[in-house]
Amino acid sequence: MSSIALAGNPNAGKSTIFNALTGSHQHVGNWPGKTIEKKEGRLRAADQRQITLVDLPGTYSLNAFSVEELIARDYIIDSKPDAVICVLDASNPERSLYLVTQLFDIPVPLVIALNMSDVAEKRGITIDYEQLSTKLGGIPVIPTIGVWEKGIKQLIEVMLTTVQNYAGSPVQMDLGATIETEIAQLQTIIEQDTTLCQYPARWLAINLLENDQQLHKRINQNRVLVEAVATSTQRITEASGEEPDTLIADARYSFIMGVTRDTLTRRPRTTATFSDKLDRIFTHRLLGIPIFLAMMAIVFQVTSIASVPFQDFMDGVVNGPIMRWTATIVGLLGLRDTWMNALLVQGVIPGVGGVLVFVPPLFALFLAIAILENSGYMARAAFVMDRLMSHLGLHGKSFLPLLVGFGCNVPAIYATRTLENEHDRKITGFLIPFMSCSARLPVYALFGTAFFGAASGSLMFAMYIIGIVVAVLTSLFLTKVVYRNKANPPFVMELPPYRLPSLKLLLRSIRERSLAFLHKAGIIISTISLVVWLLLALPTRPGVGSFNDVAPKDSVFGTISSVISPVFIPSGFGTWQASGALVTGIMAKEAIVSTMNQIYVDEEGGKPAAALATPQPSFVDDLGFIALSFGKATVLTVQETFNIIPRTINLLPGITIPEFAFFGADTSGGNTSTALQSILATAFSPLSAVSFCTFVLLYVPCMATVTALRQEYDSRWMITQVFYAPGVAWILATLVYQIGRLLGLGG
Amino acid sequence: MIRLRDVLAAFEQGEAMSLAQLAKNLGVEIDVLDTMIQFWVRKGKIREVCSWGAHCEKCGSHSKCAITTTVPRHYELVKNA
Repeated sequence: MSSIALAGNPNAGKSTIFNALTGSHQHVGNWPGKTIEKKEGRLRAADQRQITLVDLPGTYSLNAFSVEELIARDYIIDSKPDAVICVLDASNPERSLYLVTQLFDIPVPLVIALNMSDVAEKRGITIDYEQLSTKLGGIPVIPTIGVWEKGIKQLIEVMLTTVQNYAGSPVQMDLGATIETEIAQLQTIIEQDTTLCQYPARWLAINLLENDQQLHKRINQNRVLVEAVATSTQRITEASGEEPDTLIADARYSFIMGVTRDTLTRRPRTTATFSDKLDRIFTHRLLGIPIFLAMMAIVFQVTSIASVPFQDFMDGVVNGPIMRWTATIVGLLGLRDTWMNALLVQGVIPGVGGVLVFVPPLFALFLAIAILENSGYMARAAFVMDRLMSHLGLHGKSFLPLLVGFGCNVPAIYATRTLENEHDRKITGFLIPFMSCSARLPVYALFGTAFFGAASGSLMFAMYIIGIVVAVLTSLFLTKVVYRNKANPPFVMELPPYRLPSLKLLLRSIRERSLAFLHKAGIIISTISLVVWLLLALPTRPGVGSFNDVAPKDSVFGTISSVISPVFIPSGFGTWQASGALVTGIMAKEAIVSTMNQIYVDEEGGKPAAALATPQPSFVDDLGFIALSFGKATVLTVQETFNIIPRTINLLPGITIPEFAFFGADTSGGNTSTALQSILATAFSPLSAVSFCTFVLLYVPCMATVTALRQEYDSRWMITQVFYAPGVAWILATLVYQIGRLLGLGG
Repeated sequence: MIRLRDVLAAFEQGEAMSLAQLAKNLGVEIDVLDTMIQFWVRKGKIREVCSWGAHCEKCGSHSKCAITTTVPRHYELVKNA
């Protein structure tokens, strides 16, 4: 014997068995002409014979529906290994055995390794291996646990014995009288064609009846066979009312169900699973919603507090080394005294950099939401919120688009297509812009840290709640007044089991969302920064300055913004800077922060100019600064994550729990302000900061969302939302500010 | 003993169904039912749908979306197949 093929299902532990059989004697390449990996190894038999083991791609069948199936099948047929070890998943026996029924048709010694038998036992599956072997015509069935190398020795021994004693395929599965009659006729024709002698005749006949296109091409030259197959197919279809492949598959499934019925028992589920027990709490009629709100509050605490050290790190790097390196390169290109220098140093870098500073909290938000999604909790949240949705006149399915809206409103608008009822779609779409998307988070983080320090998470949480409350009230109005007679179909949903979040899925989810944000920052924000810089550089009229040498207030940008700003006086932020930033926020909400960075920091002769005027550190010093800052940020992030617990408990009166301070690190929460935050602390009051954030939360959706509204619904609905939202935003922001003043909370 | 045609007939009521739901209706193990459904999916008679609706499939992140990958698979009959 010289070669053995290792076939089997995907995820059945075939590779583990392969590694256990071959140890380090492996060679990895590709299957000829394919990108799929081919692994070959050597195993040493008890009599010291060297046997080549070929690991075939994992497949559930040997039909030619996929490249993997084709490779596996062609190897067994063309290369004619001395034996096939078929690795099956013992915890899914019914699914696994389909492959075995197809191997019956190929005359090759076969041994079955029923792997993961420990998993089967945990799932309450008991298999009578001897009886199973009998039912499979005496094919040996060896229970194995590949990860522990259990059963491997026995597998090799049985395989050698099987090859030695092989006397032809032990099982010929009965596919039914109709099919068997046609197979017999086709077999006769096949056996007469010497060009087809490499194929087992019965196997070829069956696959031709199953309409295997690869094999049909192969027999093209044999017109007699081609016509015979067509005639057989027609006869079978007329006699049974089914196509041959359906009848053949049916016969296999019947065989499998018969075998498993006689050899396998499943322990009935009488006790509640772990998921069931958790669901009694998480979907409790009264506790469900408070638990959901508590989860969201924790998410925002983690997002706002734990990410602050890395925000400071990003700010330090952008306004330090990045700014200096850019200035150096510009200088080397001889452009230092040109507008290009100003464009980069005062426009693009503050603009884009101002937004990149908020990558850490966004990353933290994406991570937290990904954990909740992956664990299966979000499905429970949808189930719990269905009760609330129905009180609001909405369908439970509305929850998903609204939830997606917390990430980005644009896909959330498209996600309303999942709602069958047109009114549900339009109402849900109308509410989505009130879901505070991740683009608004930089604004909350900016003002939250500037004015409320460690309590910035509370500001964020409050903004999300305000958005939800406004959405709820709007929904009530739309469903009880505008769409009074809307029908509400029942919402049926199956809850997936809870599971530990997969690190791979988490990282994939975070990477996608972060890349989308960076892409947006790279293109849209940098474009807006460029336009804002240009408008800030242009004087409104002669005499007030020249290009790139004009006070921001006297620039085109400042003048336009000044026209709008009186509208916001009642709301507490009636300055041209604030209204100018809000205008750019119509394009993309993140632009509010980048514009503020350009306006306020440049106006104050802030960091860009100052940083470049002082003695410049060397490139090596800058690299050292980056490395040290990163290390410090990492330590502080871990510290602040742990400190969420004592800090939350310390909110209770009379309780003081010490907070963590690793390695004597700064316990202020890394709460050092950026240049913009320091300036904002003088330009706004805490109350006007809250009213500003409230306005940002609710005012007109970004252009991309407006476009999506127009595409998904109609212009009238889009225009209604575009006028409704800023109206609500102004009213609420003004109420917040004026009531706050009346209550003596500042002004 | 359930047949492939019985699986297809179960979808002819027109509503999308999850594997678990269908397995319960037909009194068959989920694993073997899954392979029978895949047979009809390959023949173009049944298709998998996101349990939140067909539109999710058009989203660029559908195959990687944590919400759709954790919600059990649902299938529906392909009309005019």
